[in-house]
Amino acid sequence: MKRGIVTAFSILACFLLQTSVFDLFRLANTVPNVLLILVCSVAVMRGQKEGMLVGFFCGLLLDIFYGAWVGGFAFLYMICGFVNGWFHNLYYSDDNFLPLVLIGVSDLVYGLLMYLIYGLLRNHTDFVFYMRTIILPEIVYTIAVALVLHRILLRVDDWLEMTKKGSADIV
Amino acid sequence: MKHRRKFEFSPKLLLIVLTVICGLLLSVSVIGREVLRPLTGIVSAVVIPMQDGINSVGVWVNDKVGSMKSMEELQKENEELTRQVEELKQKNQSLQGDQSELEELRGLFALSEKYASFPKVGARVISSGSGNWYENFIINKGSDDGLAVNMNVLADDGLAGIITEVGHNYAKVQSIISDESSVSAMSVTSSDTCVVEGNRESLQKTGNIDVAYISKDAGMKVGDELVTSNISSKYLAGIRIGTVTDITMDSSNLTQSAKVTPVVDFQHISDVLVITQLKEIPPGSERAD
Repeated sequence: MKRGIVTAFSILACFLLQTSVFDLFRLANTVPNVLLILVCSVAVMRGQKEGMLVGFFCGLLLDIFYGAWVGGFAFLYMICGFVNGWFHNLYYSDDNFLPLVLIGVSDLVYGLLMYLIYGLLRNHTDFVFYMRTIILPEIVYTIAVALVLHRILLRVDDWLEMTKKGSADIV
Repeated sequence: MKHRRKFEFSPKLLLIVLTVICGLLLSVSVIGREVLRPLTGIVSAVVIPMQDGINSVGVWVNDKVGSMKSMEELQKENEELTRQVEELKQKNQSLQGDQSELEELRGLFALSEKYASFPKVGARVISSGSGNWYENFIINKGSDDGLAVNMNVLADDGLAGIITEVGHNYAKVQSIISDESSVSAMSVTSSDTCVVEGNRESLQKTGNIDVAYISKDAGMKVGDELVTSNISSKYLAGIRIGTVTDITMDSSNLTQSAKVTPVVDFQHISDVLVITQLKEIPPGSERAD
């Protein structure tokens, strides 16, 4: 229950970070993909199921405000949670490298898919341009933010685990 | 004693369930987005005030940073401005002469509609897209303030876009530089009609967007001003779009295409005006854009 509320809160916080806060601090005219960081981090820390649920709701929020159709981003982010959840078994809580690599790769795949949908299907064939002006800056910015954000999410997760164990002891 | 097996969702089952939900949502939203209105309403009631708040804090911080300009800069600016005032005074005088001429000609053309006289509502852009791939933005006024779908949005005295969706407290605007956008336009000087199509790739590279379907013997020239055309079905006539920069004949030799530099600075768009009057067209008439 507590975990549910905290997770819902972090989804909302990340959504606001991505759409409002970082929108005011655009670097190289890009915003970092904060929701993707959240989905990857949760998936790798908690496993596939939680990753998928968090991904689904993150995507749903994006769909409601920005998507042409409701459900598209929800599906994309959910799949991202599912795939990243595979690496849950490889992950130790003091391992900072694996999540960052996964976030970087996820953002690259996300960028390529977006290029397919918003670029290639609209007859924009200059891939190098999109790579240089959108995909690469977004990856760099996202990883930079992930360096900090993943730590915070890890702390929150530790705290949730601790309180859970504590209450179990009392019972 | 009965052994109760606890039912667990396996990840694969969850994947299938969520995929089915996504599929359902997609098909529902393709058929009619109106069905999802209650869901959208609840979420926007929570999120939009927060986005609005964060945005006002950002604007406030920007103002504070801006007001810390040094004395020297201000002095320089003052000098510059005084010079400009002198220049503008002179210009104004000559323009006043033109103005009377313009009014006369307008009367001749019976162009009683001027967009200066349309009812307008000011709004602030609170979020310019969720990421880096498309050019839609969200403003902090919605149906409660009298906004509706297909209302025209102005910024910097030019056309910025059109409202594609409204909630109670927000509206989604599709800007004219977005790849999905096409606006029926015409040249002020030669009255040739054309279609202005958004193109973010070219906008980012050269600062221009595309103009298509110009007739092959049109008299449009580089430097012409483009405004929304009177045959457009959604855009009110006579709103400035931009200046034509480059015209080429298409390979079919039947039409020409061109580039137009928008009047609006889409990089720094923060306040917009929404015209709260919709273009009225007889039902069943042909649509130009």
